Amino acid sequence: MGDSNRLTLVASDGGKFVVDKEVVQMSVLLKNMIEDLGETDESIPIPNVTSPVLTKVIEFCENHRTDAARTDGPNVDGDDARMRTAVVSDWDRQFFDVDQDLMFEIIVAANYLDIKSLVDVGCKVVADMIKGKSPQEIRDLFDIVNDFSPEEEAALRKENEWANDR
Amino acid sequence: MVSADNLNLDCLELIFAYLSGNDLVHVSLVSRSFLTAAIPRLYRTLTFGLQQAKKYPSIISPFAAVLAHTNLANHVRHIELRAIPTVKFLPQPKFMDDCMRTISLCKNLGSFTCTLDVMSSFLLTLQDKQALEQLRFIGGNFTTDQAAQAANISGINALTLDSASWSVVDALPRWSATLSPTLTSLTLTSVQTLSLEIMEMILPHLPKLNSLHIIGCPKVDQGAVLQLLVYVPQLQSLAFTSYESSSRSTPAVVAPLPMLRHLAIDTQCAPSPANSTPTIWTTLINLTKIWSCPLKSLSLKLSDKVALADPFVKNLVDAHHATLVHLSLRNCTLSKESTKLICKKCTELETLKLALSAKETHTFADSLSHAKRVHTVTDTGDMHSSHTQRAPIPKHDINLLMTAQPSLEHVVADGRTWTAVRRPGRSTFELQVKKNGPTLRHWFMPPTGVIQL
Repeated sequence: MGDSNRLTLVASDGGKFVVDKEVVQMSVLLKNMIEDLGETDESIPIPNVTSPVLTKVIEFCENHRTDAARTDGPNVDGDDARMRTAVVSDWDRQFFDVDQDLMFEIIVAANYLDIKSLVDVGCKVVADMIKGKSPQEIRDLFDIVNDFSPEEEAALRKENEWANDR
Repeated sequence: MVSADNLNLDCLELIFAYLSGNDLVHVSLVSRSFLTAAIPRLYRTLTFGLQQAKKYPSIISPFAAVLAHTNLANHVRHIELRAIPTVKFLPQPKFMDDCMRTISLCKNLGSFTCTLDVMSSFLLTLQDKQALEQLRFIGGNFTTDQAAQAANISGINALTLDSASWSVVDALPRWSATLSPTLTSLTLTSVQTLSLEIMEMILPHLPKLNSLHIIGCPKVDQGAVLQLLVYVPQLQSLAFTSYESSSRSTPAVVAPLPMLRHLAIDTQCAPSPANSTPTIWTTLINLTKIWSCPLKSLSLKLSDKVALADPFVKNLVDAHHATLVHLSLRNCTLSKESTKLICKKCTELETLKLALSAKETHTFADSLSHAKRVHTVTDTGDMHSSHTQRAPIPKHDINLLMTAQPSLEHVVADGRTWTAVRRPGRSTFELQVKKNGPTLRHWFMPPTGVIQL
């Protein structure tokens, strides 16, 4: 303790993680929290994130700590009909080569902690899994129950038909 | 436990932001939560093209869909009308009515594109669109009243007029006064009646203009465009057509464009072409050197196929090798040495458009291997053989290019895009191919990211 460059994060299940401040600050949420707290020895509780997930999040941040701050691309604010793009490195793909539950929990945690690069990469990985699949294949992939009635689904299919092949 | 099914709306929307086209339609049909997350993107752009028009009225138009669920209108940012169903050669009245009523509901409409000559129907509804920034339409045989209505549409940043009728050209000086505070980009194509005199009335109204594209307007040739530059010193993007048969001489003194980043020249060859690099291209490259404006993007196009002279390519590379990100050469052939020089010296080059020759794939692959960061190569094809279908570029040639250049991600050719999906730790890649969707983009426009706002 007493090392001002390191902080302790506490996961929801009580797991403790001692992490470089620089790494922690990749999370906008935690960065703001640290600024509000000022110099402190107290550990920071992260009530929404479990130890296995936090382990992965920290692994990602430590690997990406030296990345130049990402400049926002032209489409980042979303007001563009074009697709978003994100660069997914080889390392990132291997990082997300985990079971689906953990993959989604990492994305949710990254969104909560506001770690933009991790959210971007995670969402791109999931989007790539979806590409080229039919609605039923997507349901099978993620084990999703179809909660539309057959009539609703048929009506929806007809209403959105114009958006095919555009 | 988190799964795709109970992922919060925020995250789903972020994931779907990486999807487009049919993938987006497919996720909308998966479940209610997926539908809710897909709708903002699905209805961001309403498009209606030939595909859809052919099936009308058995297909529901996006406009009828919005009218059936009016809350969808809030999501609409862009409308693109590329085709219209007709009855006895007239626009289908129900369709046009749905379309007009939808436009009036879309408070957030930011861009409207209409590539059919039916613009006069929409002038009134477009007048009070506060968020409207981009407008593009074709023809527009307006009455005097309609021309006045058009000149009332304000707030536009980017205006594109294709084959504009004389009544639109006549209204342009007034309209440009209305657009004076906002217009940054003006594109005029195939406007027969556009003249130097009219442009001289328009440009002084447009102090914010950073992009000027005048293509295929016979009375505004290279000499006229170079004279007009004095009104637009802050131009970042310039495109024009040069006519080799033009009798107008180019001005002795040309106003400098120190901020120019994108240049496109479309050259209409004389009836008996000299089969040499057009002199205007050399003139302009020399001017860009004098202006010391480092170009990020250069597009050159010829009406007749010409082999580019090596000294011209060398001059071009010398002037812009450190900054050029996009290079597009249409209907010109390059020597092996010139191609290699471009790949070697232009270290920032990311996209390269040129005519790929099936016979010379090996040579081109060799040149390409010298490039540093080229990720997209587009075949501009042989424009004149489009009637006599050339054999498409075979897969093994695409493989060859992708192998030669590890940074290469896309090869666009024969209406398809080949993508190399490269996997970690392996030098091999998986090749995917997808048909290109219809594109409305003019070839001479600056690629995204080139113009600084």
